[in-house]
Amino acid sequence: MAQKSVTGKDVSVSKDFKDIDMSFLKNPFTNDIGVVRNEDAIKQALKNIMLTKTTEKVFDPEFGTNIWVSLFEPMDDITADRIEQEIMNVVGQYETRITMNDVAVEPIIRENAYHIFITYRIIGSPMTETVSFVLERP
Amino acid sequence: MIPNNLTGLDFVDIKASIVSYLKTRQEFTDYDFEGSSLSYLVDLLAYNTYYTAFNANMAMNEAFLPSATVRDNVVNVAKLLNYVPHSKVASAAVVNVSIQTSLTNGVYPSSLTIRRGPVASGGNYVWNCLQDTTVEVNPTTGAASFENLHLKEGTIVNFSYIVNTFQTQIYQIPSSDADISTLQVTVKPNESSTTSDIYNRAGNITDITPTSRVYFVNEGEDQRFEVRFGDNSIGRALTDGEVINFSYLVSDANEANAVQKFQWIGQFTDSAAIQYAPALAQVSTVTASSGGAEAESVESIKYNAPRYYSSQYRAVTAQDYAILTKSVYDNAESVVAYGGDSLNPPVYGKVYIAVKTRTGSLLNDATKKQIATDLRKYAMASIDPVIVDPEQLYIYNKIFVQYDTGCGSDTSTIKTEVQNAVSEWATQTAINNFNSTFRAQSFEKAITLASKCITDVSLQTTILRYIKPQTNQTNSYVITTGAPLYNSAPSVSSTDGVKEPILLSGVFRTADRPGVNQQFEDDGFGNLRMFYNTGTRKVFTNLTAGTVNYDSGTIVFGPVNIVGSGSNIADTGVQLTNSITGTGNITDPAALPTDLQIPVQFIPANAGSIPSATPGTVLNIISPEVSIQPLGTIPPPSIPLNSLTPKVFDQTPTVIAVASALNAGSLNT
Repeated sequence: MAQKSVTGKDVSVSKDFKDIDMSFLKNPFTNDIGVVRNEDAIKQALKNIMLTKTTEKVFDPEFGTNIWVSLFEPMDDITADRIEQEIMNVVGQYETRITMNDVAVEPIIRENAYHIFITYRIIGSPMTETVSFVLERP
Repeated sequence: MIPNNLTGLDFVDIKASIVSYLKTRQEFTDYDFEGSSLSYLVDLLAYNTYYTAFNANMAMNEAFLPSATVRDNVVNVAKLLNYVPHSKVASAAVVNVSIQTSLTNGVYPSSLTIRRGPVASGGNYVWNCLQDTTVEVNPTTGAASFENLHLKEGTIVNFSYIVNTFQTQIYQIPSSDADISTLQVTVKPNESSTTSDIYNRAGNITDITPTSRVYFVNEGEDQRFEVRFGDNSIGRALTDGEVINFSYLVSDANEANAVQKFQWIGQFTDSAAIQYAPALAQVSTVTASSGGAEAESVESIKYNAPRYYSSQYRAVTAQDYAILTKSVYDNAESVVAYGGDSLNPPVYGKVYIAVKTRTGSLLNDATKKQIATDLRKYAMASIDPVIVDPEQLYIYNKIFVQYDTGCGSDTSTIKTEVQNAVSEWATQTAINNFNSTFRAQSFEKAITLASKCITDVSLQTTILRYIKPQTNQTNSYVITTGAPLYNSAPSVSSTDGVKEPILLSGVFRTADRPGVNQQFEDDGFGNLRMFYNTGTRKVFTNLTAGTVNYDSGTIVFGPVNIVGSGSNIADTGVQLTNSITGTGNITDPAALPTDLQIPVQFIPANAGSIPSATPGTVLNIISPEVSIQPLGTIPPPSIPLNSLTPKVFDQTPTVIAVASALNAGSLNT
């Protein structure tokens, strides 16, 4: 690997976000690991935070959420509200690249699952993004 | 930029170093290292590095004796110094057992035997006789008496191994509670054989031949000892099919100490093979159980192993004797040795070894002789080891504390805090040990810091020693204080007038005046004088009863014939000729009391620093008398002239118990 010479460009704040794709697929053109960029990188980061249990990450036990515990609670608005609050707190703390607009947690009683919609805006970008995923018992 | 800071040992430092390195790489331009998938990979790298760094650090620490913390590692390093830590030691007691045998065909049996095994119960423990003991039966009366029978607490366990040289065998003793000093190793040629060879524990390889029946012991994992045999070069090697039998005691160590009553449960067998029931035996205790001790602590191994190695199986310097004594006598808590040439008067050709036992009891003559014999083989020719009891010097403090009444505390709380502070101070300074020095300044400071309400602390310090007279023998008794004594009026000579005494003894009775309690004190000019008290005045009976050297602190009392002390006086066996002056004579010397002790209390010249009188002296701090006064009260003088109270010390006083620092060797303690 070639070393990059450090110049003034390196200290400017980049608006480009890059991350390794969690699927770990190979990019057929570069033969390098798959990369996710910008809004996709942030979506992936949000999912990572949601799906990491607290105490799971080494030396950072508070990282992640405990929403999986709520999946075993009675499925009602109180539990949905608790999940919503937890998401608001943890994203506000660990994902500083976005501002949250809204979190919606909808119980899907028939499937014993919750549908979660997170609406946010990337700081420095006018676009509003939404990430949604379904939480269900493993 | 290649990371050049390799000193970071924290996870966060390591991670920051990796991140700052990756940020400089072109491949990772615009990557975000926080809250992303990449962060997980960096975490893994940092965790791995952290783990490796900890491992390296731990491995290096555990490789050296001073820094190792895990017991097995400390033991392994000590093994390289040929040091075997002592195992748990079973408590031992001495009893006398007597039994009446019965007639068989009109004659009493010639002998009676107690077999090895459990023979007595006491204090919820089982007590064993470790070897078959046979005594002769009195042919006229049929009485048999086992004198000074040694009992050891525990359960005798037998464990066997069959030797198989085709695999690597470790002959481990499968209990961490085993007392290795009771281990008996026998080897028989095969399982059906009825005869066996006894193997002895090897100490030094210099006198071992290829055929010697010896074994070596070292501590293995989890405090389980391992036994190894020779290799046909140093000791006989075992061959296939031989059966090794270990027989040892598994004991409750120090928990079984201080048991005083024993009940006999063992069988007796006489020479005609007739058995006698345990209930027929009469048991009397000679010595209560003592000497039980836990396995050697990690601190102790770390301290002793290098010193034991430095003595190299040879007692040359005084320190060598001290270290070797600890290895031959497990019950020694601390040992000090000094050449006889350092004594006053000097005794050449002898090394004196003072032993302070874990139990605090004094060694009996048999044990002293045994230790001296065990040391003899290490000693240089012409040097004679002599085991002595430690001399006890008691320091008696009266503590006067002044406190601020507006501080929000009360006298009883402050008193408790002062007493706790004194105990804590005694533990931290390890005052009750050889070669220690009482320093009033640190003592006062500890008391001052006991409570925020204490404003002033002052002390009245006196020293107490005991004279132990032989009953009804005319002797002179010498006690030394190791430091000068207070001189109450240095410029006054004997022709000018009188001085206040600075030493006073407890009461005693002499053979010529067995009817009156006498005491002795000094006259301030170097003489001791004996007197008795009529209740209204002192009557001096001997103005030259001994001498005092105020500069060297040597007090010589006698020649005098003592027949009683304190309340330990004869009711019979004396005849009085005058009941007022107490004169009379001894009619029955056998009725006189023994174990006499006369307390002597005196004022040191410098109470700020009181050293041990001799190398073999142990300082004891008597539980102090504490008085708490409000601020503004004037404390009494620091020199307690005319207020010595030796009579309260007729019985040996309670001293401050000093807790010993023990570490079982766990990472969690």
